[in-house]
Amino acid sequence: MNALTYFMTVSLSAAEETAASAPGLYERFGALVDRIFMPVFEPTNVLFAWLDPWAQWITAVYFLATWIWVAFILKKEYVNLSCPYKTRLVDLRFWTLVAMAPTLFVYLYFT
Amino acid sequence: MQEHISLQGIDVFIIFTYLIGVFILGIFFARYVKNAGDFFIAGKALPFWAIGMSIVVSDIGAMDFVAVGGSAYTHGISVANFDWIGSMPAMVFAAFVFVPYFWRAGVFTIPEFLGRRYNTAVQVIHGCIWAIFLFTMLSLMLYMAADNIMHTILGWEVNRTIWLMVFITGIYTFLGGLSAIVMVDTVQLIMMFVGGIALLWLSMWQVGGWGALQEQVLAMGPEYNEHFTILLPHNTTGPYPWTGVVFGLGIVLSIAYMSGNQAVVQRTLGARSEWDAKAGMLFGGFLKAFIPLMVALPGLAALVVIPQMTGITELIDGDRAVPAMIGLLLPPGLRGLMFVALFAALMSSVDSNLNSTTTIWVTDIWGRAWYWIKGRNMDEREALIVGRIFTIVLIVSAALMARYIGRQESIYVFIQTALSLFQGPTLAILLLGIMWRRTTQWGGLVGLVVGVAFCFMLNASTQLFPSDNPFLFVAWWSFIFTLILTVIVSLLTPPEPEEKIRSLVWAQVIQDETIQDTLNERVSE
Repeated sequence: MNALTYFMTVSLSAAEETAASAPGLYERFGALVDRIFMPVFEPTNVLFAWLDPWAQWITAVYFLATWIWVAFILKKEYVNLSCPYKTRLVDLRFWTLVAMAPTLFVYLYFT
Repeated sequence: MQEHISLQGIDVFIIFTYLIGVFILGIFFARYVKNAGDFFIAGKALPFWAIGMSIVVSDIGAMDFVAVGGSAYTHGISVANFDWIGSMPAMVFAAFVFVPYFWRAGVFTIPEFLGRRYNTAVQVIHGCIWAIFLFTMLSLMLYMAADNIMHTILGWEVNRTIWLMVFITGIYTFLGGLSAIVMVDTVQLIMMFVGGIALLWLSMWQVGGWGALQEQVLAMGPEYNEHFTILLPHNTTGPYPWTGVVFGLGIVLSIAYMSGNQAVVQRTLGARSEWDAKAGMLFGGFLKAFIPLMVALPGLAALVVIPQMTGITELIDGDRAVPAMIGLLLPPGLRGLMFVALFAALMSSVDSNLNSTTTIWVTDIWGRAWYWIKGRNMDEREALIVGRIFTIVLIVSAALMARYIGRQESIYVFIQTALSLFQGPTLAILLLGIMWRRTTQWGGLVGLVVGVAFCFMLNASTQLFPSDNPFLFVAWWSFIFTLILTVIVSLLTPPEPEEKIRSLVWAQVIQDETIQDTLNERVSE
């Protein structure tokens, strides 16, 4: 997702710069939005900040839940449908775990 | 530091040998293109390893080497989230939900699906948005890589670099279609890995290894304390707090990107079997896990290497970090190899964008216009001719417009901002449209329009989120908002007739054998 990273960051920053240099209408609109939605988003921000110590584990659970969905919830026949090879080594339930392992390791290591 | 990096004879030899080799390889695959199916989806013959490699190399552009390395230099390792949590779970989800669905439904593009689920107007509008976006990206890629990389680093003339790229990629895309692109991409990926690993290895060698890098960067001051933290606290003012990364990026943006990006979807549709399509996605996700090591870590190492080797202690512009590392660390020969990696990254992104834009033009815009005018769909031969003509027209137009679009930041910003604001709401109606048969036209329309308006509102806010650039939160909350709104409006409006949504709901497409037979007939027509 590198291309996406780049353009999202650049475009939204640039949009904010444009907004900053525009007359006050956009800022007044932003202030109105803040007033309307603050009661909704303030509690969610508090909740998110409270979850900070578990960030690493929530991320790990997201990865593991994805794998559990593939390995145990989807049917084996569906996961491996039309496989051209006749060996157990091509079971995509196993390879899903292998493919996710480096990324999962990174999140457990770097946090 | 010197302004331009000088190339030795051996470097120039490596670069031109590579360019000629890629050109010949691309042309070789022209012999396999006999009809539109061969041109657009490689005659459904691609193996999983080629699909996986091609997806990765299409996604990593030459600018990413510079920009992501620069971002790691300035903000730290958290930028790597876009290739880690921003890829893997989404690619698993795409592999087991969207890929089988597209495969069995015989849909070639996302706009085509929306056309069947809602109406032709939605297909054409969505197709136009994507075609304009991809075309603009094509021009921008050509200009930015020619100007910001080849001109800034090597001193090459911008126009000549653009036309060199256009000539090589245009010819093999025109002749060989998706087969040529994917096979050339596999070579490009190998070159990218060779160049990237060389830079990574020499960077780590110079700083004394991973432990020494951490020690030296952390010793530079408290502002570097979070350079090795990948999940930053929620209240961080930077753009990548962990909550935005997990919810906004991991759940919304990455799934929207991996399932809705024509360049990615098209490669899986060219697979020789459904299993290859799924396995290709997984293999691509596995390979992507290693990209940040080659792209972001040299940027981090630059914090230590540049002061060490040049005596310059103040921070340089982030985008100069990786080019500086290339100039300082790589000897002649390896330097040429590194520029081959940059060329590979550029050309693979250009060929993928070109082929995908052509597919959308032919399937969703020109194809629809043809149907209205002639009362029938294009046959295989006509579609191949139109596809090839559009390939040439698009790449030449992109090159001619490159300087203009590259310099008009407002066009770029407008298109990118508009598209980024569509991601959350589009994913919500796409998911509901596929997964829930009760979703109605009105639900989808109101969800999309009001969801995008909600995005604009959140984007105007300055206080709602701690981050200075809360685009990840905007994506997450607009997705949730649109899901809820679409469900409510759908329940309040009459259900769609059964015959309209038949064979468009995921569970039916995946499980109902009668519907699968009907779809197979439709696909083989």
